[in-house]
Order: sequence, then C-alpha cells, then structure tokens
Amino acid sequence: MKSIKHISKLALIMVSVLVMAQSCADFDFDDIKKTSNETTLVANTTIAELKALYGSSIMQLTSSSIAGRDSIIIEGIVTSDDRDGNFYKSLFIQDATSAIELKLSKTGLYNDYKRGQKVVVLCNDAYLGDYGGQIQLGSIYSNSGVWEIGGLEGDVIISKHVFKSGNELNEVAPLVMNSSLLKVANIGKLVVFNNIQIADTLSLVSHKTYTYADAENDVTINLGLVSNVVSYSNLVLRTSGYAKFAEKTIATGSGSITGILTYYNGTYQLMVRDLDDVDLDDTRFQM
Amino acid sequence: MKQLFTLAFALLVLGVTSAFAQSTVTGLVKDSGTGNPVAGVSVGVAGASSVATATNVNGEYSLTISSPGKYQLEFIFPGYTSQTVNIDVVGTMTCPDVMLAKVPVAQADVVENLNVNTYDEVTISSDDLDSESSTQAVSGLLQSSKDVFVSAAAYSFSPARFQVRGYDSEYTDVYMSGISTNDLESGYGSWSAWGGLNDATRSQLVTNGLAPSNFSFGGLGGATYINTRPSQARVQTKVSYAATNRTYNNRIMATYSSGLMDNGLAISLSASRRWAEEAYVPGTNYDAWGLFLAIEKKLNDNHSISLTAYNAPTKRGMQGVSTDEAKELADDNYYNPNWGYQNGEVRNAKVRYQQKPTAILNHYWEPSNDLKVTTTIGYSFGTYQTTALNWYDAQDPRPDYYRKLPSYWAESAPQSVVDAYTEAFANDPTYSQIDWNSLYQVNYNSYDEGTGEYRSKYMVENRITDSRQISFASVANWNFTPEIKVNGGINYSSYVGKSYKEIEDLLGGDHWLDIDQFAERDFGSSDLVQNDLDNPNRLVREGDTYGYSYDSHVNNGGAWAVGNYVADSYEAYFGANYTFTEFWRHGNMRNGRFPNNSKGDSDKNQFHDFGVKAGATWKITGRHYVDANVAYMTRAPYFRNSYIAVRTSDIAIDGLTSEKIMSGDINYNIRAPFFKVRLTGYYTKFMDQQDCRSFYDDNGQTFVNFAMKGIDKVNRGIEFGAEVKATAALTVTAAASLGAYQYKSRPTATVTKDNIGTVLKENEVIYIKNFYVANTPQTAATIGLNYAAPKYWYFGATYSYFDHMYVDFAPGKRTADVLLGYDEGDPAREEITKQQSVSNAGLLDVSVGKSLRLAYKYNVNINFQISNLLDKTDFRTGGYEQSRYPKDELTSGKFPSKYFYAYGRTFYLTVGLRF
Repeated sequence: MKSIKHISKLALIMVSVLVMAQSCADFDFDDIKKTSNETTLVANTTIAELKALYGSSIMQLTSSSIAGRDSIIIEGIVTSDDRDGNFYKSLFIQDATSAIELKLSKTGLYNDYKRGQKVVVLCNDAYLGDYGGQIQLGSIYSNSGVWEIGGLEGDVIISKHVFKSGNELNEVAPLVMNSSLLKVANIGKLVVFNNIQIADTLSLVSHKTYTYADAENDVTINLGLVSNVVSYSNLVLRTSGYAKFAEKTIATGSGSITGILTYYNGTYQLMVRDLDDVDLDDTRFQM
Repeated sequence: MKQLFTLAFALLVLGVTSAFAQSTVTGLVKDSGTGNPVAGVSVGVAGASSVATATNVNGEYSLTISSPGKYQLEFIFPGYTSQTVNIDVVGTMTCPDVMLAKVPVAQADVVENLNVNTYDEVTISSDDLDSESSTQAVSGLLQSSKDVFVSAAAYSFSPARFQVRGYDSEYTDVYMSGISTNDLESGYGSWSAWGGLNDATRSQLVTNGLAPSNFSFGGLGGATYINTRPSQARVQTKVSYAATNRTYNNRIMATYSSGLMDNGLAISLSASRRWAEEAYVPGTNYDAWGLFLAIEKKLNDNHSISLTAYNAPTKRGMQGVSTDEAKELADDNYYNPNWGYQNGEVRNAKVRYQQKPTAILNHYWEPSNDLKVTTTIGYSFGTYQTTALNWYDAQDPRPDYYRKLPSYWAESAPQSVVDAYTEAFANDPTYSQIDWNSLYQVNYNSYDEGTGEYRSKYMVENRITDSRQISFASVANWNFTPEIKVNGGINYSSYVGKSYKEIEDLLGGDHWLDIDQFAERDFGSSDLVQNDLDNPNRLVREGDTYGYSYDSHVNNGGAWAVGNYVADSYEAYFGANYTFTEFWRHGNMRNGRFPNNSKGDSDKNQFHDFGVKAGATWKITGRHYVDANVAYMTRAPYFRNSYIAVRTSDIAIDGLTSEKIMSGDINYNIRAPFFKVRLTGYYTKFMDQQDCRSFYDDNGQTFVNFAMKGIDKVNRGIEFGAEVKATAALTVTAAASLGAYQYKSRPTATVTKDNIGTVLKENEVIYIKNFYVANTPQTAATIGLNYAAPKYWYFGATYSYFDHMYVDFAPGKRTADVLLGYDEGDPAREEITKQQSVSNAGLLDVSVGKSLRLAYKYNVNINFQISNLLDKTDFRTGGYEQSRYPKDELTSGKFPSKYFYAYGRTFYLTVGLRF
C-alpha cells in the first residue's frame, strides 16, 4: 500500500512537470515557400551600349563610365545552360540589341538561372574584358600577378550584381543565321544554323567517327561546320571535353544546329547547350 | 617489461604455494540515519580485490579471510560515505555493526551531476565519411569509484576527452544487469542507451584495468557492472530538477525504489526528461526522455527473478567541426556550420535520433552460501539515425566549404572581394550558416519535363542503423574452498543490424533520383551509376530507402573462468577465456558498381579468440601492498572495420585477423585512514589492428576507401592518485596520468576507388611509426580541495592540467608517394609529414552545495557547479587533419586541420527532493 501511495505521488509530480516541459526543442519545420524574383533595379543601358564602352583592355565600370548615368544597369534573357557541362562558369544573356557573356565563378548555374530567365545586372564595379575578341562582363583575377578578366567571385559578389527578375521563363527565339549575320555584333547570341552538317566525320587517326569532344582526356574539340546553301568560313562546332555528351559519337547527317555563337580570334564557335540543339537527321549532303 | 612479468610470475607462484587456515567474518550494515539495514553494500578487504562480497537484503554479509591478522574492511555503497574498519581477525568472528552515513546530499549530487555530463556526451559516431564526430565526446567510462586515481580523475579529466591509459571505449566491457552492452558491430560502449536514468543506474561495480571481477573476464581497460536489481536499490523517492547550459538546459528526473517489500516484491521506477531549445553550442537543440522499470520477485530463499526494462530516446541537433578560419570569422570557437534559419527558426541539418529499448530478465540462484548463479536473457532493438544534407550537381551547401571562405579568394581576387566575404561571414547568417531558403528555391527551380515533377537538387537524408540483439549469459560465483574462489560464465549474443539511407526531406521537391553522382561523373550514364541495379533510375520520395541497404550479422559466444587464491600475505588469480565470433554482410540492394558483390550473403568471417590473465597481490602490511597483473588476449576485428566499402559491397579487407594485446601493470598502494595513494606503471602492446576510412581524394578526384592493417601501438605510462584528509572537513585529492601512447609499426594500406573497387594502391607503407595516439591528453593532472563546512554546506575546487594532446593524422599524407618531388632535406617534407599537436591547457572548476531537511522527512539539496570558471574558450582538446590533400596544396593550408574545443564556462544547478 505504501508503495502504491508513493508511486501515485511520483506519477503526479511527473505529470505536472511534463506539462511544464511542453515548450521545447523543435525538430519539425514548415517548407519554405517559393519566392518571387523581384528587383527594384531598372535597366538603363542596353547590352549594345555596354559593349560599346569596351576598348581593347580590361576596364572597371564605375558611376562615371557613362556620362549622366550614376549606374549601369542592363537586363537580358538567359540563353545558355550549363547543365550538360558544355558551358562552365559562364552565363549568356541577350536583349533586343545584343548579347554578352557574364562570367560567374560558380558551377551549376542552371540551378539558379534557367533558359528564358530574365536577369538584371548592376554593372557598377564590375569589369569588362575580352577573350580572343569576345567581350565578357565579370571581375578580375590575378594570374601570377597579371590582372585578367574573370568571374564574379561566388555568391557573395554575384548577389551584389546579378538579380533575377520575374518567375516566368520566356525563351529567346534563335537568330536564323546566314553569311551576313556571322559578324561581331552577333557574338553571344542564341542562333540557329540551317542546312548545315559537320564537315569531317571520320578521325584519320583512330578511323572511327568523331565524338563531340575527347571525354577521356577532357579535351575540347572544334569540328568544322559547312552548309550547302551558305558559304561560311571559320565556323566550328565547339564542345568541351567536360560536357556530358563529349563521348557521344557525332551526328553525321545534315540539318540545323542551335547554340550560342561564341568567338575566338577570328573563329566563330557554335556551342550547343545539349544534344537537343543538334538536329542533323537529314541525309548528308555532298559538297 | 621482462622484469615485470618475472615479478608477476614470482608473486603468482608464491601466492599459490602458501596456504593457511581461514576465518569467516560476519556482520551487519545499517543506515546511520534510520537504523535500517542497507542491502547491496560492497564489502571487501583493502588491497585484496578477490575478497569481496555484498550485503544481502537484511544488510548481512559474510566474508572468508584466509588467515588471521590485521585487516581493513571497506564498505562501499553509492550515496553513502565509504567506511573503513580495522579488524583483527582471529578465527570466525562477528564484526560490530557498521553504520553507513549518507553522503551529505549536496556532495552526492555533485557526483551525480558530474556523472550526468559524462553520460550525456558520449558520442558513438562512425557513419560520417569525413570522420566528423561530435566534438564534445568524452569517455563514459570514467565512473565514480573507490579507486583514488579514478575517482579524482573521473570528473576533472572528462572535458579534455581523457581516456584512461589511452584506451578506446571498446576495451572496457559494460554490463547492464548481466548483459554486455558494447555494440557488437563496433565495440563502442553505449552509455547513451540509458542516458538520463542516472538514479536508476547509479549502483555500479567498477574494476579498473586488468584486475579480476566476479562478473566477467574483463576487458583490457576493466569492466563495469551496472546493478539494476531493485531489491538492492536504495529505498527512496526522489525528484530533481537541473538547469544547465551544457548539452541541454533542463532536466527533470524522478525515481522511486521500494526495496524488498513484505510480499517479496521489489520495484524501481525512474523517468526523466532533458531538453534544450539551444544548448551551449549554437544550433544544437535537445530532446531526450528516459524510462526505467525494474521489478524483482523473491521466490524463496534460494531463487529470485527480476525484470529490467528501459529506454532513453534522444533527439538532438549536432555540433559540427569547422576550421579555425570559420571560427575566427564568426568570432566563436563553438561556431557550428550545421544549422541555418528556416522561416526564421533555427534548423540543424544534422539531427541524431537514437534509442535502444532493452528488456533484461535475471534469475538469481543461491543454492548455498558458497555458490551463486546468475542467469540472464536480454533483448534489445534500437535505432541510430543521423540526418545530413545531400545534393546533386549543385553547389556545396555547407557554409564553411573552403570555396566560401575569404582565404579561398585571397590568392587571386581583389582585396575588395576578400573583404566582402569576411564581412558577409561575420554579419550575414545567409552566408555563415546554411541558407535553407536558397536550397528550397533551387529545388523549386528544378522542374523535370520527363516526369512532370520537381527533382530535388538538395535534400536531407537520414542514415539509419536499426539493430536487434538477443543475449544470454550465465555467471557462477563459487567459493570452492575458503581459499579458492572461482568465478566463471558462459555467454552468447546474436546481433542483426540493418543499415540504410532514407529520404528525410526533399526540401520542396517531389523526388530524388537514386543514382551515384560520383559514378555518374566518372562513367556517364550506365549500369555503373545505379545504386539499386534491380530498380534502375528509381525515383525515390520521402520515407523511401535509397542509396544502400545491408544487414550486418554478428554472433558471438564464449566462456570464461577466473580462479582466485587467497593466502595470508599473498593473493593470486589466474583466468582464461575463449570467444567465438562470426560475422557476415547481407546486402539488400544490388549496387551497379558491384553487381556480384553487393546483394545477398557474403562469406562468413569466423574468429576464435582467447585471453589469459594472471596477477598477484603482496600485502607488505595491512596498509601497504603491491599488486601486479599481466594479460595476453586476442580480439576479433569488428564488423565496422572489416569491409573496404561496407555500404556498397561485401569485399572484406584482405587478411582479416584478430588483434593481439599484451599488457601488464604493477601497482603500489597505501591505504591509511587519512591517506590513500596508488602509484601504477603499465605497459600495453596492441598488434595487428586495422582501420578503415573513406574520404574524397583530390589526387584521384574520387571517393576512396583507405584500409590500413598491421597497426601496432604501445601505450605505457604512470598513474598516480592520492587522497589526503587534511582535517575532518578538508580533503585534498590529486591524480596524475603520465602516458605515452604511440604507434609502433608502419602499417600498410590498400586504397580502392569507392566507385568501382579499382585498387589504386596496394600495401602502401604508411610512415607513422612513433606517432602519438590522437585526441586524448597523454599528460593529465588534477588537484582538488573539498571542504565540508558546518550546517551541511559543501565547497569544492579543482584545477586540472592537460598536455601532450595530438591531432589525428591523415595516413595518406605519410606515404612515399605524397613526398615524391620533395628532395631530401626540403623543409616541406617535415611540414607535410610531422604530427600536429595542440597546446597545453588548465581548467578550474568550483562548486558549492547545501542540503537541508524539512519536516524531519524531506531532504532538500541544492548544488551549483561551475566548470571552467575562467572561461577558457581556446582549449583545443584535439582535432583531425582533413583527408583532402591535393598534391599541389600540401603546404598551402587550403585544407587545414579542424579542432575540437572544450566548452567555456558552464554551470549546472540542481535542486533535489528526496523522501
């Protein structure tokens, strides 16, 4: 009996204390909601205007770079996509006037910036530079003491310059190319080449059909492109050795290829985002 | 070493060859306050470990002593002040009643509180790829003990992760009411399984080192027996509340023990809760329960049965270990990279949940005064879970990832960038902590056209091991003749653990694709990337098992016996044991990289192990004695260390073999009424240990498994403990451990690609001979003053000093391969290969307590304790080198060591009520 009395007393104490102890460690959390991409920044400069500021060497953009504008703000639609690894730390954006490569020191950019995403870029304090004649917007880095154009340095810096605007994705229609459009003004734009094929398909070394790149050694490969309608010179299909499709055998037919028109020292380099951009299903034409 | 064995052998022979007539001493032990008999009191002869017994339920004891002479009898029971009685043994005699006084309640609770900390902070972690275990791990094996060294060291040394003699917890056996509780898969002691049940598990019998016990053969580091038998528990009802700022903030605990009632029943009940919204380390929350029930029925004078059942489910946000750079930026040595804000609330990504409900059934049989047989069956089933972030083809979400710290940008970026990073880490939790919002937004941005769903790029996974174990043990304590006592037993355990990963939280997404992204990067899309080849490209959702799943089967059984011989001025024992161990892996998933080595049963690994030990005590006088112990034992490897990539394949380490251990110690003891001293020298050699770890290797740009074998170590040193009663009220205690725990071989490593099992290096020599064992101070010393003031006030102060603490090394950096290209004499060689140590440190602890009695019935006690009074927050207790060591970054400091820091100033306030 005595023990029962004790136990009931004990139980009473326990219950009262446990009631007291209700508020405590929390391990359950509500999901975070999808945020809408809003920015108060309004573009005041076109990409063409921005690129026109560039001479031939690295320059920092400041509040006095353009007379009468305390800031340089551009906006554009994302056209590149690094999901399949052909683009690396690089984002191409395009407005009605032009396109530019944004260099960002961050991988997996497609997780943040999908094709068709509108972004606003505050260019103040950022740098313009070029690589083989292709103008880039980014930051600088020291290459053994020499400042070169590089990417905006990770999230802390990117978040000061690049802002997503809106949740709708509106993909840019590719510019249909012809020989007169293959020019400096169109560098960086999303383009499509029709009536085209890869010039040489067989490796004279391995006697096998080319792959898009050398995946084994992570080496980038340029493959010449030819058209039976238009005469292009210095046009190649460029694929990184790190691309997921680098090891794939090339399409040997003819048709169209969509991609970003990049440029290096006189050569126009078409870079596809993934193999959906390659539509060479027609029979191969004879040159 | 040789001399030691010779001495031990001589003592052994001397002990065995002397025989005299024996005497029996009987007596009664009572509570000095109530006059009631006290059951379960340990009664022993000072300096003669094998002459010991315990009082029965009527408080009576009977002790056989081999020859007449002057002896000191010791009476020890938790919660009471130990007592020593000098007797002159002449034939069979009855000792005057011994009146044990309850420890001033405040003092008892100091002991309790300190115990609480050791219990709660035991960490059992091996499932983190980067060996990131909790930083506040301390040995749970330092228990209150009659030993002067251990009792002085137990509390003061814990904050420094002190391990007695440098032994890991797996070398000490812990028995809960007859059942071994060491984890069969890893050997770890599992003190957390009864965390918070301090009052119910307080009665402990501890043997240190190689000394023989009457309940087991004993591990190298000794054995602990937790006695839960309710008829031997102190009769009491107790409720207490504690406030603290350590691993939790609040604790309530209530315990009731009936003692043996007239109807032959005895009951103990205990319940507790411990919790914190945020404990000492930022982002660590805590929620733990404890429930305990023991019931015993005395069937007749010879038979009793008891049932013990308990569970202590614990859930807590974990502390992560970070680099000093991150800690300096955050201006906090307890910076915790594991948490971030989610909708304004602190969310920890690494949450550990564990519980191990256990039921133990004992049968106590005493057919005669000279024979006791205790037979036990135990069953437990538990779970051990740790959540972690996982991500696929997206930026590393950890805030202290090296590319997110200023130092990464300092090399090449303009100073303004470095400043911006420094500023952001110091002031913006979006950067210094996990940015949960961005993880959700990436998932919301990850619409997958193929499935019409959102594919999570970030998620929280849960790494789970569910286990169940059945154990059987029977122990006999037999007084063969008055001089010869034999203790022995048999035992068998069967364990099955199921280890797997589960999707815990998709962070706003709909599914996760169950492929291996490292394999995907290396091999593109093929069968090789499949984690579950029988269900390729499976979309897994919250609650689904994915990644890996395997069962670990471990069975072991054995027998042991220890014979003790007690003579006039000598005592000796000899013991032996045998253990059979078998284990195998059963895969539940067919892994794409190991299609033929992942699903189904692996080969069985079987081991036969034995141990022998012997020792002797030479009683120079009743107050001085010398004893020595020697042992040789072998031990089967643990399942956890036996497979090169246990999650994905059943390929065992080549040449698995039992570890061999040789050990000896010699002790000199003084036990005068006001003066106790122990001085010990010990030497232990470990041979053929193995170690298996996995990490990301920058040189191969892939995850590798690094399996080392042939590890030999020597742990040797001196222990000193003293307790001096300067006045009736003032006691001075001192303890010191001066050790040298070193690697003594050059192990060989086999390095395999985790992806596919390709052997990258075979039998690569690891140059670590004479390196020191990491993460325990090799020098530790403490001095304490305890003052029992009038009116039940109690004051205490302790100063402890720690030195020779080393950082765990990355074995792969101590290879010829890594040093290729560095010329002999190049200072970089030394920089790369030398073992790092951390600075010495001292800590001051103080406590004050008061107890009072209300209405002649209720004992109230209040105790307040401050640890690390001087708030020393830069005390590194150890750490580890990162396993990443890209060849071009060996000396750049880009992947610096990570250090553990002892807590700064903390307090523990308890208010208890006992009636």
